[in-house]
Amino acid sequence: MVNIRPDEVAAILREELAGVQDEARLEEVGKILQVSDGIARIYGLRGAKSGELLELDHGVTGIVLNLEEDNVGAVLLGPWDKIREGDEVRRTDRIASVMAGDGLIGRVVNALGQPIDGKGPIQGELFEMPLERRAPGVIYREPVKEPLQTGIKAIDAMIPIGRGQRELIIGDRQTGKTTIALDTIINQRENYEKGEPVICIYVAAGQKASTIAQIVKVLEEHGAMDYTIVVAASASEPAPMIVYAPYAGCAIGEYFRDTGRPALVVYDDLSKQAVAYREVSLLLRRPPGREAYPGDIFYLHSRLLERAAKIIGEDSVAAQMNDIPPSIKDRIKGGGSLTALPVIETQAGDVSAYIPTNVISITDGQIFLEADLFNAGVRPAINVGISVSRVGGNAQIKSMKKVAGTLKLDLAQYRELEAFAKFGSDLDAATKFVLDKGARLVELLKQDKFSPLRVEDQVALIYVGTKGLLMDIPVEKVQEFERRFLEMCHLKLSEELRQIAEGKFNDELAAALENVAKDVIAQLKS
Amino acid sequence: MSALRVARRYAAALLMLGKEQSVEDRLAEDARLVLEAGAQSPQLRNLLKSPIIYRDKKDRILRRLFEGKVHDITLRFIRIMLRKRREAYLLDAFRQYVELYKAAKKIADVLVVLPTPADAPLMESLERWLRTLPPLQDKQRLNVRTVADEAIIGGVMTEFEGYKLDRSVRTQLERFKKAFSLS
Ligand SMILES: Nc1ncnc2c1ncn2[C@@H]1O[C@H](COP(=O)(O)OP(=O)(O)OP(=O)(O)O)[C@@H](O)[C@H]1O
Ligand SMILES: [Mg+2]
Repeated sequence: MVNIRPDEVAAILREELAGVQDEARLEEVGKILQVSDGIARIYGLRGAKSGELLELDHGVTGIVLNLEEDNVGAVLLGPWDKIREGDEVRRTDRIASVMAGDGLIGRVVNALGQPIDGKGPIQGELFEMPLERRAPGVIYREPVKEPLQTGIKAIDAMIPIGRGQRELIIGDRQTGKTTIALDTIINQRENYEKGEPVICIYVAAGQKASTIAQIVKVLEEHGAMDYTIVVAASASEPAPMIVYAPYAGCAIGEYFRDTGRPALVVYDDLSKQAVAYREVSLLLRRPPGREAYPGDIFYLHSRLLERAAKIIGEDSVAAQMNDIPPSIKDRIKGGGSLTALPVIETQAGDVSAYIPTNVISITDGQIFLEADLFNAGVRPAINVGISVSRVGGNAQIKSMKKVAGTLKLDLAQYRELEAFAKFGSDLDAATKFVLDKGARLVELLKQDKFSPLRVEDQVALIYVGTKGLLMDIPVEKVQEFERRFLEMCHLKLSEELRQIAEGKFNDELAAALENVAKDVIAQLKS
Repeated sequence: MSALRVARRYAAALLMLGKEQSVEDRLAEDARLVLEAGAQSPQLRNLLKSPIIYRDKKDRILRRLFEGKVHDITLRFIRIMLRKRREAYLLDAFRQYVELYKAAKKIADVLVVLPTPADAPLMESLERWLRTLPPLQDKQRLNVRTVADEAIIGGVMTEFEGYKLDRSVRTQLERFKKAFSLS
C-alpha cells in the first residue's frame, strides 16, 4: 500500500506557499466617483497614463481613456455591474494587452483573449501583446508582392490582394460581405496542407451571437479551424468589448507577423465598431462631431489598419523594429505579414457617408458589393467597375496577370452597352459581340459560396472566357461548362495546371486548354 | 468654468497673500475650521448654495459665524467670494487651499492602520519607516493619524496621497487563499 507521510504533505504545502507572491507593493489607488454603462469616473490616480490597464474588484479591469484635471475616465471590461461608488481602483503600470500564442489556433476567444468555446484554457506558451501598438516604420516594411489568394475568381483576377495589404470589403447589408471573407479564410486550407499556413483571425465585432455561432460552424465544416482564430464580441456585449475586439485580433495577428509568419485578419465589421466607439465617447462626454462620431474616429481606424504590413525579410533588420513587445523580443523573425480585410456596411449604397469615406481612404483598395447585383443573381455581387486594388497588381502570379489583362475592360464595355441593349434589338455586330461576350464573362465569374477555386483553375477558366471560346454555347450553359471543363482539366492536364500554378503561361499551355475547352463545348452542343 | 478651476484660482490667491504676510499657517487652520463647519452643518452648505437667500443676508450670517474666530484675511476672503457671487464654491476653495498649502509646505497626511494602539516608540519607528517610502521621502512633515483595527490581525496598512501599502496579515492570508483556490 502507498502511504503519504504527514511531513511530506507539510513540505509540499510549504513549497507551494513559498511560490505565492507575498511581497506587498506600494500601490497607487483611486476611488470610483461614478459608474454607468461600463464607464467609470475615478478620483485620484494622478500618475495614470492614457491606455493604462486598471484593476478593480470582482475581476473587472479598466482601460484609461480620459485624463482630466481632477479625475480619470475609464472604460470597464468584465462584469462591471458589481462595481459600486467608492470602490478602490488600482494602477497596474501595464498597457492593456492580450495573451497570444500558437495555442490560440482553432479557438474562439473574447476581446480579452479569454476562451469562450468551452474547451478549457489556452494551451502552450503565451506572450503578452499590447492592444495598442505603433505600426512598424517604413524601413521595416517591404512592398507587397506575394499574392494572398482568395479563391474567388472575380477578386483574384481583377482585384488581387497581396500579403500585407489592406483591402476593404464594403456593401449594404446582406450582400455577401462576410461570405467573401469566409471564402478567403477557407481558401487558405491549401496553404495549410502544404505546410505553409496563413494563420487567419476572424474578428466578429458587434454581430449577433447566432451569426457568430453560424460562422464558427461553417469554418469548422470546411476544416478551416485548423489554422483560424475567432475573436468574438457579440452585439450583446458592452460597447468597450466591441471597440477593443479588432485591436485584440490585430495584436494576435502581430504575434504571428512578428514571428515571421503570414497572417490574415478580418474585421467584421468596422461600422459596428465605430458605433460602439461613438457610444463610449459620448458616455465619456467627448465632444461629438459629424454624425455624432468623436473627432478621433478616423484615428481609431487608421491606427488599427496601419498595423497590417509585410515585414522585411532580413531577420537582423526586423529584430530592430520599433515598439516590439518585450515578451517576444527574442523571437522576432523577418518575412512575416499581416493582411487586413476590414468590412464596412453602407446604407443604401452610400459610400460618401462618414465612416465609409474614412476607411476607403485608409485602405489600399475596396471590393464593392451591390445589392442590385446580388438580387439579380450575380454572386459574389462585386461591382467590378468601382472595385480596385491599389497595390495588388504586383502580387498577382504571372499567368493570371497575362490572362486577366483584358477582363476588366471587357466587363466595363459590357456594362456600358448593357443599358442601351435594353431599348432595342437593332444592334450592330460589334456591339452584339461585346454584349454576348460580356454576358458569358459575368456568368463565368459567378461563384457559389464556400467553394473557392485554386488559382490554376481560375487561370484556365478566365483564359477560355476572355479568349471568346464560350461564344458558341448559350449563357445558361456556362456554369455547366465550367464544371465539366475543370473536371476534364484535372483529369488530362494535371501537369499543365501545375506549371500554370507556378506562374508559367505560354502558347503550348494555351493550346492545351483550348483543346480541352473545344471538346467540352462539343459535348455540350450535342 | 469647472468648480475645480474656480476654487483653485481663489485658493492660489489666498495662499500668495498668506505667504506675503506670513500668516499661511494661520489661514490653513482657518480653512480647516470652515471646512469642519461645512462638513458638520448641512444648513451652512445649503446657505452657501442657495440662490434664494439675499447676498447681504448671507454676508450677515457668515460674519456672525466667523468674525473673531478666523483671521481678518480669511473673513475678507469669504466676503470677497460672496461679492463675486462665487460663494457656492467657498468650501471647494478652502479645500483647494489646504491642498496647495500642503504641497507648498511638503506636508503629507498619512493614515496608518495597526492591530493595536501605538505607543510613542512604535510611532517613532513607524514614522522612520514611512519616510523610506518613495512618495514620502521629500516631505518636510508627516501628519500621521493612527487607527487601531483588530480585523487586520497583524502587520500594518497605510494610505497617503493616493497611495496604499497593505502589509496586513489579513490581506496576506486572503492572497494565499486566492492562490490556492485558483489552481
Ligand atoms: N456567392 C454566393 N452564392 C450564394 N449565396 C451567397 C453568396 N454570397 C452570399 N450568399 C448568401 O447571401 C446571404 C448574405 O451573405 P452574407 O452574410 O455574407 O452577407 P453580409 O453582407 O455579410 O450580411 P450582413 O449585412 O448581415 O453582415 C447569406 O445567406 C449567404 O449565404
Ligand atoms: Mg456579415
